Amino acid sequence: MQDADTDEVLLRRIAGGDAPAFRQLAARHAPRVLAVARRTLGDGAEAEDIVQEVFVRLWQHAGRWQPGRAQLATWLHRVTVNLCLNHLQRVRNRTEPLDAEALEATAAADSVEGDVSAAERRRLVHAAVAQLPARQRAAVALFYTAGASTAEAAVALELSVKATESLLVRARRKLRERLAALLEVEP
Amino acid sequence: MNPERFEQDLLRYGAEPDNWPWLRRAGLRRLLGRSPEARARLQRMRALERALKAEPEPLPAGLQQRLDAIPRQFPQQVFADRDATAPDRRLLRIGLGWALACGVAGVGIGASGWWPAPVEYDAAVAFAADLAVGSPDAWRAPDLGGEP
Repeated sequence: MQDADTDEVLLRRIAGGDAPAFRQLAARHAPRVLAVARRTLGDGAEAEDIVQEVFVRLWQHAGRWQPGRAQLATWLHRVTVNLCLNHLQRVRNRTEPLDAEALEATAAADSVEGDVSAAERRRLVHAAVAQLPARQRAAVALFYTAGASTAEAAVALELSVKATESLLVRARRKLRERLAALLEVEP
Repeated sequence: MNPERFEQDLLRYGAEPDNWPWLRRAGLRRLLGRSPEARARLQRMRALERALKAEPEPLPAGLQQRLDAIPRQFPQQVFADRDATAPDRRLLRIGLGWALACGVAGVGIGASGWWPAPVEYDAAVAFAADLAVGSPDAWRAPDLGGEP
């Protein structure tokens, strides 16, 4: 990859109003941002709205980017998680993650026997994650979906490393319990 | 490393030994070497983490179109001027705040009569004037003695 294609170079071009550079950067980062939002929210349509909002901010605020201060991916994931958690806060009374579909899927995960298709496995895992509290979901999304280190996830969550580790401990413990049957039949 | 510690660390750092503090890795290897139960637990955690690490899927077409439309639909904000002067403005605000506070405090103290006027007022004013503009004596080079 040429140097002209690095995030920093593209950001400088975006700051000058370069739409093709913006599209190039969005193509590079949007799929993972969407995956993080989906995992944090547990909702496809809302996650797409969050992704659009993240990239609107990137387009509008590219001129404020200070090279060398942070990785773009870290900034994107931080904004994504913040928007997701704010959204969940707003709709908490209206939509609990413990919806009927998630409960049904978890019940299914408890009784998995024999081969499980990849799609079914993804659905069961997604449903089990959807039952975690919001911050645990966000920590899981950052660590596993975004590939962030614990320290980077801590920055994105605006928590200490210890607090982030604690979120991951609780999330792993619950997921291991809820997906025990699935993990036993792991090929 | 005992099984309880292993369990705590497995939950804290996950199944990838590279994510464990390096001081604990030797103990982890020894435990895994002698305990089938520990190996099974590590395998289950590894399976869980593999399931959680699913690769991102391609963007839905609708979202792709929405992202492509952003440059047309949303005007960019210009930050260059504001960013360049922002620290100076902040300092200016702080300075003005302090000046205002000092002025108010001075008026208050003066009005209360709490701070007595200097006895040798004229001398003090002259000294202050010297400090402000300097006196001809202060400009003269000091006499250090010896030959010029």
